Amino acid sequence: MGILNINDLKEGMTLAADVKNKHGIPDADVEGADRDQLHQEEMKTVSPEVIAVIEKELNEIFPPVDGNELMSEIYRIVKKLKIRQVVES
Amino acid sequence: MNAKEIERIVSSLDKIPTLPAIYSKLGKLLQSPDATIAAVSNIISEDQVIAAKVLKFVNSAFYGFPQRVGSLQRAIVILGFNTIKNLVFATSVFDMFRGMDTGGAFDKKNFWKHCIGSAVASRVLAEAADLRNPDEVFTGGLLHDIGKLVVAVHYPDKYSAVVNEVQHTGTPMVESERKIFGYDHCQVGSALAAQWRFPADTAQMIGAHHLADGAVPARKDIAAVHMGNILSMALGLGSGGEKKLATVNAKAWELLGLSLSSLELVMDKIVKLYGENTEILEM
Ligand SMILES: [Fe+2]
Ligand SMILES: [Fe+2]
Repeated sequence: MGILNINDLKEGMTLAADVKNKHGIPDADVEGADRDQLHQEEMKTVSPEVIAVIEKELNEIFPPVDGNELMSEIYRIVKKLKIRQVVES
Repeated sequence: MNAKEIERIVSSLDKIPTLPAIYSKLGKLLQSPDATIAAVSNIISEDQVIAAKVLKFVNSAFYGFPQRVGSLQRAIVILGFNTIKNLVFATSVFDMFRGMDTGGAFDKKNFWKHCIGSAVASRVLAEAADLRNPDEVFTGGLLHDIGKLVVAVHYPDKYSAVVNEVQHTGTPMVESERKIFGYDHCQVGSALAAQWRFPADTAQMIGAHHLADGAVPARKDIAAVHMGNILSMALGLGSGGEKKLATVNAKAWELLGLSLSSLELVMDKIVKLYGENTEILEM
């Protein structure tokens, strides 16, 4: 079970509880899906070359994040947002 | 250089504007027993531009009130004196600096975006961490790099050397500033804050936002501005001129008490609020 942004909801997912709104952000608790899995889903819709370009851009501004949980998570989220921007553009 | 020397340098700079009369009047009134809602509203109404901005801000997505707040008096009732003072403060300081010419390599347009992005990010972090003063943290985020602007306005060529070195080598700005000027933008920012008699908390958020590795932030608001600055840059919301992101100070993160799993919602919210409010903030 994982807390997802409402934009990440896909057909076929089962809601474990009612969609709620916390701090103004719609959440939904989804069975059987976690964030990483969803991230993988999203990655599949973008070509590896584009992902490589995004990673290159991020590697230019990010310090090495290995071994730093927080910085790795920031990196993962920014990468996801960039991929989403590309998908939506 | 010590704080006294920096203060002397800052007070000798000739292009530093004085805060608008409305701000000091408001400060005085709020310290006196005559501070009534009507009196506060009257003072703000003396400056129609600031009054309009306060109303726009109150009606922005930051507060998310279900109904439009139509009058200043109502805004004061809802938000309280301190928040209103902060809003007046933030909008007037911001305005004073907008007209300043930096010239040289300093990218003012991206700098303002960075200020707004950091203000939004710091405020969202403050709310997520349940701080009691998210609007003060917003102001701290908005002004955290004000020292850069002040130095760039007075020494455009010398500051261009900092900007160029940072862009070519990836050196952190504070290091390059210390090498070229003998002081950094945090020191200048806090000296300026002292000269303007900013609230002490705001001055500390400005002066301590670059927590060196292993440094311990004195308070949560400082931690929020420290991290807000880094998140806004990571999210590409403008640029303060830095080439490389700093690593978030581990103690700052610990002090905020947020969980890793909440970070995605926090960052989504920053992007959303930034997108919805840049227009209001840039007007
Ligand atoms: Fe800075
Ligand atoms: Fe900054």
